[in-house]
Amino acid sequence: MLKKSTITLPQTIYGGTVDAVTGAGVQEWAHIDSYNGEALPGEWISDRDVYAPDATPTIGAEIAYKLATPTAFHATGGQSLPALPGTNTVYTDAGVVTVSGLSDTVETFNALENRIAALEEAAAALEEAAISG
Amino acid sequence: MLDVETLGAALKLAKKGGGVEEGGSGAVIDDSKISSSTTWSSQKIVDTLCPPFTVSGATVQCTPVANYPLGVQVEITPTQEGTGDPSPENIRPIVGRNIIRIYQHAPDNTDDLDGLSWREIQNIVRRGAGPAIIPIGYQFMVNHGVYGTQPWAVLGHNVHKNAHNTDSPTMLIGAVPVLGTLQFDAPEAIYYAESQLAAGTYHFTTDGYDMWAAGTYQFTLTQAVPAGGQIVLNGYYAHQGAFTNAKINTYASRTTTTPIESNVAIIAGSAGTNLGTTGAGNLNHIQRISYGSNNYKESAMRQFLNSASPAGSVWTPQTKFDRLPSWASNTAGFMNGLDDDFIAAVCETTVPCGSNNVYEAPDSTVTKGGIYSVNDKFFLLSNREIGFMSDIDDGSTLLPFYDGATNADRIKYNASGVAARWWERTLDSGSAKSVLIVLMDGTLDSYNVRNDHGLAPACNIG
Repeated sequence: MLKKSTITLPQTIYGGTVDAVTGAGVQEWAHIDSYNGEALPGEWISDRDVYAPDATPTIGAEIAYKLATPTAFHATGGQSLPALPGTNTVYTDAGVVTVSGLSDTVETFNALENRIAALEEAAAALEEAAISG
Repeated sequence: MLDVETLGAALKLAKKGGGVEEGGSGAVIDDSKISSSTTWSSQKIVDTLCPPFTVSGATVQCTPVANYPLGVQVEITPTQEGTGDPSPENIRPIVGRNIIRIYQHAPDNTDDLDGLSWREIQNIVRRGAGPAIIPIGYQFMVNHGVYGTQPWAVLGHNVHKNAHNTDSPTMLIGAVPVLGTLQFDAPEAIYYAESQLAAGTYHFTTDGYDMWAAGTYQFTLTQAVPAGGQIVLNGYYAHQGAFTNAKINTYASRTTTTPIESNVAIIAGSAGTNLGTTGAGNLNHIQRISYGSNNYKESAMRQFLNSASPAGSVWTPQTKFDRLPSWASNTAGFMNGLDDDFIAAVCETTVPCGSNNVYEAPDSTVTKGGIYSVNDKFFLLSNREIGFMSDIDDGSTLLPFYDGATNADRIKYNASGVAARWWERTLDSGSAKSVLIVLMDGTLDSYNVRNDHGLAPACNIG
């Protein structure tokens, strides 16, 4: 089963975080279509420059820069994301995803049992090979 | 497997034999304590017994309690289009986001994969989630304007490297049926005119092959062949007995099909100017003048697979001896018939190949008896990839799809449901003109490249 949920942001976001359940977001990067010498508080990326701490982008470049003070926003479409049975694989088309929840101890025990059985089988095979060799 | 919804029912059953009274007869849920008259809720039990986890990454895997709510945070990272350092010569627009999609998968079935766009499938692969989400053998339907909508099976994950980003994951898929038949490569010229060849008598020496006896042969041209022109055998004479049964045509270039003169006789003799010995200089190897070249990198097949051009514009000569394939004027490139969104999901990958131990043209970019690689979107499978470990070791590896495969597993069928031969990209290293193929019963054989056999392309999503 592949579940897909879509979060709609209130405006174009170039960098930040959003909670996929509540929709609460923090905008950490802003964008300038055509850079004109504005003071930039920190890190930036440019469509035609490589970032260096003491450098500024080329005048006229499209840039995104890290805000000194992130601002909050609220996205729509956030929803409860209950865990699926078995091993869950979660990813997004946006960037890094962080998932939290409670581990299924039964699944953990089963995985450990399987791993131990595999190790015992390998050990038995090695022992048998040593005896016959 | 723990499940919040069913744990309550399980607890109720346990209580019947466990001496704890049912709620209706006195026991009530109380998460602050357990006593003979109060019990925890299933939520409280899970919260207490199951350890919390937090995992981060482009793709994460976890085994949470089923139905328990997950917390999911997405970090939007600043990104740019294109590759390489941005510069005034390499403008890389900055990409913002208005929508975020979150995908959650559990391996109980793959039904929902059918509804995904190629862009979404590409995203699964690029995020490294391919092995977890898309099983080996899963079949996607691929549309083609000529070959129709056909299943392509997942043959492996991360088998080939993305040619432009070796760390980026890939997913190999291959056509399940054969998609028609195609000549692999055309018979080549016997002679290339580096400079003008005047009208007159010429002779050459050959060590013979097949039914052509070794010896010295001569022919007489009534018209000059200009620089860049070729002398080509007229028709398929390999099995018609002596070399002297053959005739030759001359051409002004490698790409024209209109001869300067045709059906020039070849006779035994050494009159006139000596052109040399076949397999050296401007005289081609004798195997290739009737059967074609088994060099995959320079084959017409490879050009077909990776071209989106219309018929007549797919093939260009790769060596001085190269000639137009039989399909040159009436067959568009393979990519010409594919949907744009599918092509956009296919990445160029580095594909290992091997060369033969017999001959390569002087102007070939491939060295005889070696291995090399090509960077292609579409390609044929190799001998080792499908489970035959014989012949040349080109560095390719057994595909998971064919791990443990029998001959029956390698049989492919054509559009009529009939088992068909299909080309590999691996050549017969002991010849200059044969490529390995899979026969109708799934066994291995070697065929001359001038033949038409089944087309079973593969590509990597990524």
